[in-house]
Amino acid sequence: MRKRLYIGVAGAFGASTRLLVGQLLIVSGSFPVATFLVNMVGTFVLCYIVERARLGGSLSPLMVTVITTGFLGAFTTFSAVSVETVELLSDGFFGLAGTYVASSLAGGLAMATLGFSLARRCSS
Amino acid sequence: MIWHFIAVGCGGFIGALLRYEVSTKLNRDRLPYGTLLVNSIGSFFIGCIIGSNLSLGWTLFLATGVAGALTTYSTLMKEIWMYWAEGRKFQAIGYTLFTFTVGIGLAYLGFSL
Repeated sequence: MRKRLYIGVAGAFGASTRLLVGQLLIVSGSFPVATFLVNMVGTFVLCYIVERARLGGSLSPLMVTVITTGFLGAFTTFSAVSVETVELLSDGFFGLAGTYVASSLAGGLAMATLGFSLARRCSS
Repeated sequence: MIWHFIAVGCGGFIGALLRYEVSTKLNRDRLPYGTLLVNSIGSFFIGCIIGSNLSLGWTLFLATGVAGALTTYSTLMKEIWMYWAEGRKFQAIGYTLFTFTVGIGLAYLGFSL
């Protein structure tokens, strides 16, 4: 039960931090920079932590779940990517919508690679 | 201003907890059905909210908070990456295509309703 409370609270902080990034980033233009940025940073940190923990890092399993499933899971978001793509499409920005999805996917996988490999380098 | 963060925080609490429950019950080695389900439902839900022009407070609570935290991008990328790294390329590509197609499709459906 306590585990669920921790995950919920971490999720609250994760979602609020995502809002904060959105409010601090004052960017003109149609590309959803804030969502893109939180997803890239969140993916990198999550993969780093997951791999460090797997290789015997110092974080407890509970702490790993609270940070990854709770905070980072809520900090990053897939639904915003979906709806922002739909909004771009409905505004007629077809090229930008495609660019957004492609760069989110390519960037996310690159960040995952970076997170996993950095964790391995730090653990060895 | 502080109320915006409280609204998103309350929504984030609910969304993250729901995702945890669904993921632990439904994620399988063959495919992370739990992650797929929360990402699909969350995309439909956020489409409905953005499409229905609610007040700022409700939009922040339901869209940025609940739907934002219910769905996740970091875990999705980790799962795709791990399938690929394990040589399960069919799963990696299929899961990616399925998640993005269904997610964007459902967001469009919710948005148009």
